[in-house]
Amino acid sequence: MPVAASAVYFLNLRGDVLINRLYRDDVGGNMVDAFRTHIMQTKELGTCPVRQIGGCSFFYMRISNVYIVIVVSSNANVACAFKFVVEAVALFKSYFGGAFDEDAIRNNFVLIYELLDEIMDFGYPQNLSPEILKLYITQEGVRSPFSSKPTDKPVPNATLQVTGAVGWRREGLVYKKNEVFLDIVESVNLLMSSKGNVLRCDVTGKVLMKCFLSGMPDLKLGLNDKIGLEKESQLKSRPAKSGKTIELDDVTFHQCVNLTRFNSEKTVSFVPPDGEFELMKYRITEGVNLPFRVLPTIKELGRTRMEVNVKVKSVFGAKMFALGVVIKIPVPKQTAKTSFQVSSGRAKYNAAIDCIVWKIRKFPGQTEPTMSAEVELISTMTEKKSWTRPPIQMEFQVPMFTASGLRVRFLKVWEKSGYNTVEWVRYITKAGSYEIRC
Amino acid sequence: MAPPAQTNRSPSPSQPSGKSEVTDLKSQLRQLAGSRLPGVDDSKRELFKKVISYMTIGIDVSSVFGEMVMCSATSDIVLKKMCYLYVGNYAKVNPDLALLTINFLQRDCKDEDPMIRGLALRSLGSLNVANLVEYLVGPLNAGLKDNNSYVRIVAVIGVLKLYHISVTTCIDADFPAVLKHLLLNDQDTQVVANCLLALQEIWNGEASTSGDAMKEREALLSKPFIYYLLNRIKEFSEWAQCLVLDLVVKYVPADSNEIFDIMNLLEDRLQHANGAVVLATAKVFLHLTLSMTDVHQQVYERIKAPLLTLVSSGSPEQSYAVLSHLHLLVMRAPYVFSADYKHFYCQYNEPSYVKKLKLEMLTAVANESSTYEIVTELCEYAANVDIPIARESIRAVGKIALQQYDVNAIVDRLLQFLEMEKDYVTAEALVLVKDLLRKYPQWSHDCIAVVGNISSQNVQEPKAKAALIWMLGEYSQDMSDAPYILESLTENWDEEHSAEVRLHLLTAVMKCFFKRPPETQKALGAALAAGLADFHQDVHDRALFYYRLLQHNVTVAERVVNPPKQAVSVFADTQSSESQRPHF
Repeated sequence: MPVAASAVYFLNLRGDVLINRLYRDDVGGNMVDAFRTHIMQTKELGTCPVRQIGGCSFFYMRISNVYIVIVVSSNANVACAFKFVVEAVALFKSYFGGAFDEDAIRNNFVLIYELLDEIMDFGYPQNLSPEILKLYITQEGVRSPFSSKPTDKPVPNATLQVTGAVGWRREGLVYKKNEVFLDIVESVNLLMSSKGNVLRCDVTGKVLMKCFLSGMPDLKLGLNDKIGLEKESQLKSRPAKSGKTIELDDVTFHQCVNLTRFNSEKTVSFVPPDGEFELMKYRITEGVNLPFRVLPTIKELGRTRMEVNVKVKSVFGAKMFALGVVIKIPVPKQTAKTSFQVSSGRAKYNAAIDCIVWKIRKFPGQTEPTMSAEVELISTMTEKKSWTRPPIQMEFQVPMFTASGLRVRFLKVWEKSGYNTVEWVRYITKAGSYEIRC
Repeated sequence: MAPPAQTNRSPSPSQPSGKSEVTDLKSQLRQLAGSRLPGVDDSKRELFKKVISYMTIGIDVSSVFGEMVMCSATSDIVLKKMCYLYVGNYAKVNPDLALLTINFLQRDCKDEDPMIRGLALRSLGSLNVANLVEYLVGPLNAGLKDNNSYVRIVAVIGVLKLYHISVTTCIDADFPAVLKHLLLNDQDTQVVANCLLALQEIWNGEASTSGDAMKEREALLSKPFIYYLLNRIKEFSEWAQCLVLDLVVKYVPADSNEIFDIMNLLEDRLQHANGAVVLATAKVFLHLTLSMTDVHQQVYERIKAPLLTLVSSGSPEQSYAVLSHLHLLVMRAPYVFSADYKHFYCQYNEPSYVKKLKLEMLTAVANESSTYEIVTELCEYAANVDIPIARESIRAVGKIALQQYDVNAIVDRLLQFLEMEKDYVTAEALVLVKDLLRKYPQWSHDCIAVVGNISSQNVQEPKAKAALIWMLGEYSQDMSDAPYILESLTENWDEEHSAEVRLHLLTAVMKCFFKRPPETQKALGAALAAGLADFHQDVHDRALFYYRLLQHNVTVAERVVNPPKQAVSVFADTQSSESQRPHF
């Protein structure tokens, strides 16, 4: 059975019900009490997001200070349920324009009730796409697209978009300047051992597009992935241009992309939704250029002192630079005093997270700043237990750099009225989970 | 809909007590009810908002029912929505008053605006009152034939709701046939999807009583119908795709050509952004190829990449859902995933339920070449702050050791754990060393050297203590201090809470006695005396048994208690593959 949610509850951290919606009758209203007593108020919270109590299953997720709980009475599809929650929260965020937390819910509960009405009927998810829902449910109140009042802007075919084949794009869009913005955002995940060898690294990337195009254009995107280039050279019977090619391990696309054509010709062709959307997601595990190398040395001198030396090398081109670089070096809980010397940037001890936080605002390529710190620990009378060293974590953003080497080779736009478009492409690599053990 | 009226929780001090506010609202609503002033809709909206917020908190506002109904005579769609939400909530408690709103609802069902028609139909369906169902049939029929697909979508779900309120009305009005017609002929995919789920539920419910329903249910699984759905699958929304894929899983194809056709058609679903769709497609593939073993293997290879990507994207809860499925697959076919063990490395701040699953998968996929790296990684986790995970990782190292033949490095690691001087680490490691020795007695010298150095005061946990004592008994000839340690343990007999430890202590002392009689004699005497005086039945019985054996014949006793043992080849609990089948 697919997801047939019996009820959806929004609870705050204390367990009070903020909003709930009972879709079916097979779950009693006292189920939320059971959830509260058995899960929220015990140590079970956070051990497992799927629990069974008394014949019903509870799937819960915590988003900032709100718990969203879905109650089902049969063996339902968990992945569907969690995806539904994630998409619902994204939908709410796009309406409230900001955080999704307890206050936002209290201020907008009428809107949330309306949305809960539309996105799920009798426990089955219906339609969660923000573009369509915004056509007829707005913050100021529901605007009916068919109202006969002349003051309301007529939006033709709203229900057609709700139900039609190209559900993600309206007809009749017109822009004075036709532009497309492409953002390739990559997240590098690294796990490096204390001896300096790479245990695991991969890159997850997203291609985000912002389309401001008129009509119903057809777009085609070409990247420098190996298979795509091979196919292209096959079809055009000329050898592929030499240059770096990359292998995409796994790709998923937005629902607007024509997947059969991708499978046969390896081209990404699609009719884009209007505005901002995520075109594709990919993952690469081979041939990753790590933008930073971190060389830590931690020495424990006796019971009360520790010397920490961290050298960070940036491996990308000298003309490029990274922004917002933050290196978090963990120190033991019993730290009393710290003193630093940094060759660039600023370092501070943050007692709340037990880390030395070294921030460098602008980090040029091919440089090796270092930081050395002396940490004094509170001397304890009890026998010193050896401190388990959590890994060093890094955050950074490197514009115009892709850790995978992915490049956009071309982006063609074709529309029957044949207008010119301006295309902008931007690359940025961010740190995902960049951990270096020490 | 919103919380039922029964939950009258005592409100907290910061919230309004309800009574006075409700009467205020009543009078305010009554004032506005008949008014035709220009700003009245906005003030009505504010009041309605208050009513709904009280309802949500749990205050009983059913007394303003009449006034709400009076105010709902408006063309403003927001007001209508709030009014119907309120009515739907309290209709069960006040069915007579609900009758008042039926007029409005029926009129709205014929409104020109399809949004209002849809809203009214949905609200009619949620009224959930048995004697109002007759009013539901007419509008539903009209809704199912409506021009506008939004209304049809709502009407289909309305039929399902009617079925749950009153089965007979639904069947008598012949709705299933109408739904079937829509299912096969409607252009709009959301209507088709909703018909599919409604019919599935209705026929599942009827199948036990009606032969027709059973036939219909089988007809859903017929080849032309399945093909019809599969051919249109791309047009469905992602949730509907999950539904269709679930249905396809139950379909039994005629021959392998058909299987390949279906798989080719569904291949691109594996690249959908929605994780649930990918998982559903993987399920279809795996079920279809169950009987064809080599294709089944290829299916594993094919679904590996999308599933591994899903694991690292999305929230931890979503990863958990995907990992649980992966776990099942890994357990069934560990060699397929043996090259991908790096994906199961845990990150430092993942929640413990994710880490636990990953640990189990790492132990399953370990093979000759990857053992060393995996064990190194697991040892890092043992130093982790999170105690349950540290324990699990040590146990995982032990499991791998027991599975593989070449265990040099692992034994070294385990012995290093023992020197780590952390209580729980030592405890877990001791239990594992004991199991290792049972399987690989040839390592006894190295292990005993380290174990002998452990002071028994540091070991408090029952299982670990029992393990230590077993080793003392078994290898007492190698450990010089064994009798003396056992003696001191025996002196603390009364403080020893765990029966398991006491049982082991008895046996260990006996074994030690057989190997080193002069030194152990006193300890033996003390142990037997204490055992006989023990209140725990098993301990008492065993002490008595030993005592009588010794009295009877010492050599026979030795043969009984301390026979030469063979190395254990396989532990029974590692062979649980058959238990995996039902989950699949």
